[in-house]
Amino acid sequence: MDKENLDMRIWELRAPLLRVAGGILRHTQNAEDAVSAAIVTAYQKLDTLRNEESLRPWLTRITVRCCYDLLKKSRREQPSMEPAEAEAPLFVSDIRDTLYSALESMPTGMARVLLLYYYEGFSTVEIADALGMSRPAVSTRLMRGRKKLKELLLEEQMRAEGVEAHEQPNL
Amino acid sequence: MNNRTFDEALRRRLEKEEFEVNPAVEEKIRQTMRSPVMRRGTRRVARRSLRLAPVFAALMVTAAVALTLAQPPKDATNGQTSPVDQPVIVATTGVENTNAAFDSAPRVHIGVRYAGSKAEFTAEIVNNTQSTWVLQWRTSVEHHELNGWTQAREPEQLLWLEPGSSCTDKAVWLAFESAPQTLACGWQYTGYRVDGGMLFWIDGYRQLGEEGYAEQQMLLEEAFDAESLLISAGEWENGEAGAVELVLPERYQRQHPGETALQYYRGMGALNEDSAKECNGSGFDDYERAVRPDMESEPLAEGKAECYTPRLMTAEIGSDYLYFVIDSVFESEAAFRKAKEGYPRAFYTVYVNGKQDMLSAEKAEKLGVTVQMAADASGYEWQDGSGAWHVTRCVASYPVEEIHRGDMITLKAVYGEVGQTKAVEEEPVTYIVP
Repeated sequence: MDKENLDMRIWELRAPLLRVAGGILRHTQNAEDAVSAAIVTAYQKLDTLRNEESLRPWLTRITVRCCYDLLKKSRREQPSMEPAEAEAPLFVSDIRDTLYSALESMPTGMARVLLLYYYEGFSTVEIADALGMSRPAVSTRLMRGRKKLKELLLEEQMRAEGVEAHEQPNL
Repeated sequence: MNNRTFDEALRRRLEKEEFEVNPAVEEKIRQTMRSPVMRRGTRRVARRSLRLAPVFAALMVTAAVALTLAQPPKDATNGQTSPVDQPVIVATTGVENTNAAFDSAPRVHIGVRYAGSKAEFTAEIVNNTQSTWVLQWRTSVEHHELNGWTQAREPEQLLWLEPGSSCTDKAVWLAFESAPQTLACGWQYTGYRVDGGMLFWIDGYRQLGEEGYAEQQMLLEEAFDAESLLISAGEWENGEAGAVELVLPERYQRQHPGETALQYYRGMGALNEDSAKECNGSGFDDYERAVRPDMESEPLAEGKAECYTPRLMTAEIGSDYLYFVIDSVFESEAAFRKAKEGYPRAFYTVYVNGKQDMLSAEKAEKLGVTVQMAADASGYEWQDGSGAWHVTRCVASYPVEEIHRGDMITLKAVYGEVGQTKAVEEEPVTYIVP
């Protein structure tokens, strides 16, 4: 893949990459930084991309790594990872009813697994690889996260319909 | 609705979600992509932290010159002894950086700050290999005027490093009396690659008299007899390494007093000393941030790793079920038979070239397994926030002859109260036989 083609593909992937970084870091400025760093790295390591079709997972893994680098660095420097006052959002579209919004209310560890599993289509093995977790730990978080998601979706459905709880959420 | 149906329905819904990026954020991405520095292929990471790169570089040059002019480093097991003028920063040691996607051993950056009467060592350890490692590091201080120093904080004895994990550890020495102007600081570290099967749990080591003690010892002995590495650990955050304790069953300890777990497992071949090589080193600046001479972050993993680890088998208690991974690339049949003998009640998941694979009928026949595919797994007890104890078990009852390729198998993860036979809640866990 040449760099012009990479330009175009990266630009197409900007929203998914920001979604991953935002989901992990929960901080707009840092998410921007992580995605920027990932893009730089992608250009530099382009020759290591074996298969063009795997650009998205490859770039996602790089982004995840950059996010973790940033988290580690922030722990050393101990700056606040709290969102700055009046911080601009990553997305201007209404995301209130999206899974991404639901994930923001979940524990970070669980949300990261769900983010990669549902949005990026990663397998549990790929998630374990990307997040540096054991595969059983990924499976456990996925199982618990799925349960939590079912509850959230059921609540959402109840609110929308104004009826009593059904046995299963209707997706 | 089972999990597979739920996942498919949710993914269909997600396809309709739209995320319109904030124009201000888009502009920053666009600027990054247009950066001429980046186009030249040199690193210009957009993070604010590296704006101090020239300062770090100057520090590195200073440290390198200081080391060159000083007495040559004393070679130990990946160790150095370097003179330190108070209160400067000295260089560190670590594994040689290669252009490969993965390292051959964990990177270890050790630096020291000497100020006042305190010498503080900081080890920053990153495992960018495809293997799991345990690592120990040690420090020392020497000076001809030295009357008395004490190690106020020792490094963790053993650090567990899953692939991709990292951690920072510290060691501190304090002077009893007046601190000298210069101080020779030494350090060394040794990494052991984990090559054997392992049994890993996070819910603590039960003492004699405690509830669950006998069951835990029985489990440890089963795993030990199957030549698994026994590891007890505290909880730490994902992606971070942490301190672990290697464990031997009490029966073995009584029979072999004086032998340490590390000695035993090294002798068994589960831990192989494969220490990192020396490298150019790196420094710590005044704010204790680690940098490397080339100002690059560690190489990134890319592509799919077909074989994730060289381990034959792992097991974990601490999840909701006893869980085994057998990588078929590495003598899986023998490993599986050994695991099956060691853990007859366990639920098995087989990995073939990195892909999850249930124990199909054909495979079961090939491996000579005639028992039910997934019988009753050992329970896992856990404590909730209120202090109440619960137990989780994972059960299924699929006879092997009824399992076929493409079948959907549902296991039940059963949550209950300790000592009670009635389940409080059941959670289906679904797998497809590939």
